[in-house]
Amino acid sequence: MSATGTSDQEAFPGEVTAAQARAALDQASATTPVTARDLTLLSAFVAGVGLIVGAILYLSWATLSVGNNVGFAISMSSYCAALALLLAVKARARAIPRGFQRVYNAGFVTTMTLYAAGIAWIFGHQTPWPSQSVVLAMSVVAALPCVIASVVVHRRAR
Amino acid sequence: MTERAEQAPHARFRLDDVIHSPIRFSIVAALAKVDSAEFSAVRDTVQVSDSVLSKQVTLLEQAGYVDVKKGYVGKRPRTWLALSPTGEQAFQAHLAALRAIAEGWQAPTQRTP
Repeated sequence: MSATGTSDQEAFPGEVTAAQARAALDQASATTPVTARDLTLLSAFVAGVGLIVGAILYLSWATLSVGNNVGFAISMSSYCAALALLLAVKARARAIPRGFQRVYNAGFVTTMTLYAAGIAWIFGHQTPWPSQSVVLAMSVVAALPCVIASVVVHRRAR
Repeated sequence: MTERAEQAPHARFRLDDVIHSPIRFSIVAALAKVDSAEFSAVRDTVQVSDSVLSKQVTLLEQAGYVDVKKGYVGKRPRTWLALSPTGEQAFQAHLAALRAIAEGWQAPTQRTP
């Protein structure tokens, strides 16, 4: 007999038996609108943001260190186009898992901070310009927080 | 002075009347797992029609439990649903009451002078 005075099999109208309560709790824990497709789209978006920020850091050095202003303009345009594409990818997700915004913000803010620091350091050392390997390493480091965040997004919602 | 034993109210009185309905419970349980979700995603998860979901969401919105945001993705209108802080609190309290019932709630005895 449950504490309500009714067995699991019988209940007055409107009463909730222990079995019904357990079933409701099971349903609550199992129900989620987030699909594998949503996780893939959101992870791709977060990782993509990191990668294009790392890429623009490298391309800024690669073009401006040789005075290629046209190349720099093309790089920036490509960055904007890639960002628009990534936002379109994100918009296709039908459900945003709980905590996504927090994880994305942490990754994005860290990536942008590293990007800004990288730009400031590279363009503060123009005679001579930093070597390719150093800039490449800085670009990878700048991209890393968003890439890590994308893995967290994909794993946490499972 | 005589001591009087008083029983705390049974856990079933802590069940939320708004959330208690099976469909609304399913909707709120789904929204509790997301920051936000499209109307169609919630409809597919809860397995109801557009009109039924719309009606139940309206009730939840009027109770202050769900926030509804309308926008566009490209040229296509979209409706996004999210659990409000009030709704989150109410849902957690409702779950706590269900857990108490599921575990065979025993009324604590309180003695008052």
